[in-house]
Amino acid sequence: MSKLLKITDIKVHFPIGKAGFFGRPAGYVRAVDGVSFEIQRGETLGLVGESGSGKTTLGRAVLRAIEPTGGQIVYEHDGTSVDIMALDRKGLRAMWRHMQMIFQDPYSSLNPRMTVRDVIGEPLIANKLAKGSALSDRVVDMAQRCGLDVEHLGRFPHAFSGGQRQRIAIARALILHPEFIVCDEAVSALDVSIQAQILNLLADLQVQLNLTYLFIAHDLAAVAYACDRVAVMYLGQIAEIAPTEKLYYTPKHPYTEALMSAIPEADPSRVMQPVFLTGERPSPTNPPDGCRFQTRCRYATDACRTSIPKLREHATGHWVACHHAEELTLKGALEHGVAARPAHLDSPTIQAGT
Amino acid sequence: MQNDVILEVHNLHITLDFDGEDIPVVQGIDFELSAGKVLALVGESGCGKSVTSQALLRLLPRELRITSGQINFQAADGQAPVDFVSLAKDGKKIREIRGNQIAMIFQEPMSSFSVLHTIGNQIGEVIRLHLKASKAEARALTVELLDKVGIPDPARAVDQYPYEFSGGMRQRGMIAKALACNPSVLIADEPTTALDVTIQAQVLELLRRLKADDGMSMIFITHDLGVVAQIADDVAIMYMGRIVEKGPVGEIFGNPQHPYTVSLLNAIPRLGDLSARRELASIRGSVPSLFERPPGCAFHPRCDSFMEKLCDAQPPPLTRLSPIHEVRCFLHQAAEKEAAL
Repeated sequence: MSKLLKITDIKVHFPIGKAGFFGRPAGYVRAVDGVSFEIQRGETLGLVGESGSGKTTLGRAVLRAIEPTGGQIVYEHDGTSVDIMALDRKGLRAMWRHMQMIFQDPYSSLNPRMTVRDVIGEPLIANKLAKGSALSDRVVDMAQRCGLDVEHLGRFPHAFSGGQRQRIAIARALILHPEFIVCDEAVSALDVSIQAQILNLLADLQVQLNLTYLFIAHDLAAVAYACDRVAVMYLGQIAEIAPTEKLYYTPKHPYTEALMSAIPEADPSRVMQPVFLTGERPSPTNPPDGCRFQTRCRYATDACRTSIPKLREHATGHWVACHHAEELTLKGALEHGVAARPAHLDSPTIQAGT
Repeated sequence: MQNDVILEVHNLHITLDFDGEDIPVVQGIDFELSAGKVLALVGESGCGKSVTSQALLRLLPRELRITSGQINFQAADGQAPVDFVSLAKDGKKIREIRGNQIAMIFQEPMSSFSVLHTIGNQIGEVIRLHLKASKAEARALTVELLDKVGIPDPARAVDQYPYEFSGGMRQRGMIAKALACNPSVLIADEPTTALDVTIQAQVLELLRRLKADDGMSMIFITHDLGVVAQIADDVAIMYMGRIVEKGPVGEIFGNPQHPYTVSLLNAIPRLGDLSARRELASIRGSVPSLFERPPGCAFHPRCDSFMEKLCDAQPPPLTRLSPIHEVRCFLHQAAEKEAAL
């Protein structure tokens, strides 16, 4: 796999409490505070963390949909490295053809006054890429790939269910044949059966169209299913980043342990034994000294209170920002109770009358 | 009513008044809640689980109406059971029970607290209203309640306003308010859905402790099968206003028999086999609108076991697979008949 995107030391600080017209801001919300990672072409990188951890802001900053306060974004396109931060508005708009976004709420992200055909085709018209029958052909092709009924393209979004609307939103995002998609809680608002449809659709499209995803979600089970690697955010920084199985089964950061041990597994024979976090999450305006997690970490030592742990490669591909990653033995997902997976769950068949 | 049954719903029908037309929303559901147990009503949006929970306390909005059925409640005082359906909607009797013997918690804790009053005043109000306590007594009891639900520094928290609480604290605050009158039944409508996973774990632990220590009975409404597995004793799976399958949690998760239950359990991402990256089994199509309810078994257009002229002709009757496991599906009725021959 080749590298698609590399971000280095991205920061997004929002000023708060401006005093007067020429006044300086009273402080900054450090929503994203120095994040670096790479995304390989064709992979899905998950981004998880609790509300307020900065994951949505980061997702937008990567596309410069929110202007980062600092840092570098380098995107590999057609064999050249494009410095996204150096682009002017026009250059950025041209790059956005290759970088798209899918949002959580399929109810508010579609214009209610446009037919589905127009919603999906609008990016082609806006970018002057197709018109007439070519436009219509591309819309129909993408609608079919996304599992929409072509006969319904003349209808308005309100006539569709939540799952169908998310398919429309996906078709619109993919109509320009982008390479990189930021999925911001793309399946969070959907019912279980529909969520599975959309996750499968995203996986199929990834193979068909060679897509790369940054998959932002708070549902850890869905992330585990969808992603090759997962990054955990806490208070605007990456706490840990690793291949999915490594992160879920053998986490190295105490915050990841708290997350993973708290996933309620849909198996009554496995009783959850979560590691509870004490205290409240500190404000991103005024993060604690040393490790950002030290105020709630049960393993914290003096070193954690004074020195900031750097994100470092603990094992190949497994990065962690914790001073004590080597000494700690942490609980992963599924380490509550031991029970074999019931055999019937592996086969979707039903045995009548048993 | 049986001995340890505290709340019993029998053949409950609820309709939506849509411009004078009656649209069925809940179509004859039955369940029992035993003392000290947690019953989960599970289903996707539109299945009628929230409407059912509101009907239990006669809290339905005006356009929804109970058309028939019984909701029998056995109060702790040992008197004869009361049928809520027979009571006046906002009468004195139901108001005495609501919030007092049966309390309710909701998904969004911010909307169930007034922003203008302190947490202490709002919980204290419930105590003073129902228990006729003095201001000082109410305050002392409130501090005790806040402590019980795990709010740090309760003596200070009692004078704080809801905006000063985080999401998890507000949810605990709401549980404290619900517990104010020492109810025997708690109805929890998606109480952890809006919470982060670590906070969800804390709230589930709190509810579990209430059950274990105080013998609280709960009706838990959720769409999250993971949460169900972790908290429920009994499960009722709902689809378009009917209970399609019901039984103890181990039985429903370990031996599901309705095609809908099986599909739901297969559709959730699981953590056991991350290396496999298997395709999730989804259910085709989506839940139809209330106005386009399929005839017969409402699940038949999405069901892989659909049998023509049977599933689409009439609703499947209840089949008792065992004394504890019930299902509404023609697959099992057919099997039952064969066994009888």
